[in-house]
Amino acid sequence: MASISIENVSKRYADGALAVNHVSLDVADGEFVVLVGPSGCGKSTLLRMIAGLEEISDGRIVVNGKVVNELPAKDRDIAMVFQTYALFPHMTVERNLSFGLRLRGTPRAETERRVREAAALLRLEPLMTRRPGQLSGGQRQRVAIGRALVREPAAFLMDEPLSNLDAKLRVHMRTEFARLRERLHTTTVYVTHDQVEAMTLGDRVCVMRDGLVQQVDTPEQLFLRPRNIFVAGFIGSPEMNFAAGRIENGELRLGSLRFPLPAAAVPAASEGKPVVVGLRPSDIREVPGKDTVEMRVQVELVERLGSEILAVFPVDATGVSADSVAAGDGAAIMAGGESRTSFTARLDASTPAAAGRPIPLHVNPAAIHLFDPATGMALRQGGT
Amino acid sequence: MSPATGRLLRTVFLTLFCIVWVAPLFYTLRVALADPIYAQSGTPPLLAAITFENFAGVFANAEFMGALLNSLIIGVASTILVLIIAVPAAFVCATFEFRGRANLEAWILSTRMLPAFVVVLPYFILFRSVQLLDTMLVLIIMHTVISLALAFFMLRSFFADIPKETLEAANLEGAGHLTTLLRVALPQVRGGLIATAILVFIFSWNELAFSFTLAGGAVKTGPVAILGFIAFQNVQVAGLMAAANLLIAPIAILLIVAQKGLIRGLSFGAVRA
Amino acid sequence: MLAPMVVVLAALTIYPFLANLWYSIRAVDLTQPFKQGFVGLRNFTSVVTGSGFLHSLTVTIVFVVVALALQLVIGFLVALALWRPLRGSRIFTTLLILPFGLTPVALALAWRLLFNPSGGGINVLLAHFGLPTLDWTASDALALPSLIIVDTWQWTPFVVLILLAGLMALPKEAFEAAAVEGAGFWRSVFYVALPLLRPLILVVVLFRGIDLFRTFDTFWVITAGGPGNATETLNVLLYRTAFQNLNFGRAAALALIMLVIVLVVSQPITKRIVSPRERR
Repeated sequence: MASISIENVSKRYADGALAVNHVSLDVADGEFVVLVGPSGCGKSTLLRMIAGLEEISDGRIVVNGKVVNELPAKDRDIAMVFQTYALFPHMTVERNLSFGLRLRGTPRAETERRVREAAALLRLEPLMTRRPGQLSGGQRQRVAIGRALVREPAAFLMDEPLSNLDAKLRVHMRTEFARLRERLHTTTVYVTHDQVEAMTLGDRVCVMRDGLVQQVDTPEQLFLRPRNIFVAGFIGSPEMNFAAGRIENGELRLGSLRFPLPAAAVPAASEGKPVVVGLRPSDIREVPGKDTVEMRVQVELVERLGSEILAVFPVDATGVSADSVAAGDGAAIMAGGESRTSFTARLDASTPAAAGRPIPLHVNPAAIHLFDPATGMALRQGGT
Repeated sequence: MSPATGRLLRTVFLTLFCIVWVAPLFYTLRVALADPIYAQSGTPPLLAAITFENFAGVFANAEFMGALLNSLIIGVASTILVLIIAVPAAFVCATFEFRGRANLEAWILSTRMLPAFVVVLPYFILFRSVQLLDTMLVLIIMHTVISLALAFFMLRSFFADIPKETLEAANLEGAGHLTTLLRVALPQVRGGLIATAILVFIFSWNELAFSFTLAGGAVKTGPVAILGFIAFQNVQVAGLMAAANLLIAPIAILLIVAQKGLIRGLSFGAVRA
Repeated sequence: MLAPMVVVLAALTIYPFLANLWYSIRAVDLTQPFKQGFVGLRNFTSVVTGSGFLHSLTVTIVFVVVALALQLVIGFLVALALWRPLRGSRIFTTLLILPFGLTPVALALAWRLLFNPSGGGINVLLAHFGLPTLDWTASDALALPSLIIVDTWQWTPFVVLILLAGLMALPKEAFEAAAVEGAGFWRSVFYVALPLLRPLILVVVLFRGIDLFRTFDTFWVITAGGPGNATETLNVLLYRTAFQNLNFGRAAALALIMLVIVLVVSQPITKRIVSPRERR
């Protein structure tokens, strides 16, 4: 068991591109941290640097108080589960599982015991004499996890371990991972591009974009209090609604809508200035509550998901894309553009919403997120 | 043109091509099996009586059989040496990025392009001065050297096909580079390794230039020995063809075994057939 | 792990190069052991101005160019015929691997017999059909074409298999798109297949070209450079200079000239073949 400390680590490629840009992150002993972000954000590169498969251009990585920058991968006592599983195709499942222990000269009885335990835990017993080529995707995945388990390493690294599975199996294996996590409590760094995986598995989640850490927090805090517009847009499904608004006299104006803001919640400097308004679909309710503001909307489209529905309705404000604000183009977008965009609300299935029909919806102003259009940083974090 | 006509034309074309291409081999075999007196009697070999006498004669020829044995020993020894040298190098170049790799590979490739006689002279003088001329050793060395580039590129292309993650996984499991090569990489390219070995052996078996300039007196290889036959005035054509057939028979078998790796090897890994 | 390879290959290339350089500026004539010493560039001038050099260079170029062209054209046609599914194509491809790996000396002996003007297989066949017989390797005019036939026979199957592998690997969609656009078979061959195969054709040109340049066994066994010097390639000339005339100094000079020819001709193609790997 180990703690991992990433201190100001960068990865610079030969062409000068920064894949990982001065990242710092502490993973406590036994903690399960998820690195999440769109492809190319540097999360896998960071993981490979922890593993020792990628050289560290700058900064240090400390495992259990020891700097491992110069330590070759084979001596780091870290196990990794690869996206492609990376099983040894010429070995049986049993040999795959015991490979690392045999290399280390672990006594045979001990090796056998650990392999047997891992096999039992992952229900691999009937497969022990098969080769990877004869296994299904899910079975290979379990063998890959097993190979990591038997070594009882200081830490697990997992590089998108579920992304090669089909949707149904992925959900199943996600549960399996959660179960293992509870049982083993081994320090784990887990990389994924899927925010649902990140939210369900991580003790803490580190959101990355363009090699930079955007926010490190518990799943709940990420959802409720995103530090910037990128995190707000990335976490949560369906995506948070964004539009251009303005603060006047302590009131938020969003097109023709007005939301009173508690004085304490309005940053003084934003008075009279444009802001990006963020509103989660789940924060739009079909029933009024305490302090809620009513808005009458004309439903354009209804998507039925079973227990709930997604209702899309127009708002007379300029639409804003989280990505362009995050990329620094926010100010330009706020300046111009058509004063019409669509919001999505996530409502109870019993709501009598139908296309072309006006319905009243209710929003608690305290749930509204506000972002600086220039920097994309949160001015005020919503959340109820 | 209908598809059926097209197929028929193609089959006819290919059949003709194959007949033209196989005929010389067939002719050689037929002469080797012909009663030697056909030549005097003026009978076309195709009509001559069939006999295994010529082959029996070659088997009884101690010098030629000795030469085949030499070829076998030299071929096996140089194949082993080539693999020992080329396998680690090919593995490194296939799996690691390092500065100057492209130049190194271009240089290795260029060593394959030298005509034998461009290098044989300095070697002749060198080996003469250390009294290695006309020994098995000198041919083992030269046959190793001529196949290194071929083996390197062939193996490199096989190694490049291994999923890189399996090597990284081995690394994380605690295997050093040599262990990774021996226990994870090599077992995954077993077929390619065998094809490479076969091709290297064939190159040694077929080699003539070094074999008869640096050796050829006390130590004769198969090709050198068979050339010796025609130096005699009254050489029996049928006997000569029997010897030629004996020389190519083992190679024909190996070629069919190595089929899959063959094209990849001979195109230096450029073609994955 | 690279070291053994680098050391051995350095020995192969650097030592002979330096030694050749050293011998090429000296008189090293084993028939006149006492006349050794520095001669400057005299070996080079005597090679280049010698009657044999230009002739051998021409013979070599004709051999390489004509044989390469024949092998590419025939090879491509046969590969095309095998490209689309055909009953028995496996038998054809298996037959095709036979000639090119077999011992060249043995095959050359077979061809020597086939070419024999009296009683050789080819003339017997020609006579049988009432056609005029030819002198083949015994005639000045036909000796080189005969050798081109032998090499084309031995190596066209190799070209077929390489080009076939290339054709098989081409994206099917490109041809389907061409067919939808109304291109017939030959058009799609010329405008789709050939351009896509360009890198592979370069590979064939390089390796076959180099090997044709290096060919020795066939020449030595079938004609030994004759009749006269009608088929004396640079390789044969080099062998004669070194091991028959025992003039090592001049042979070293010739070897260096050949080395330069190989490198100059092959370098542009080598670069193109090696560097795309790098980008993978």
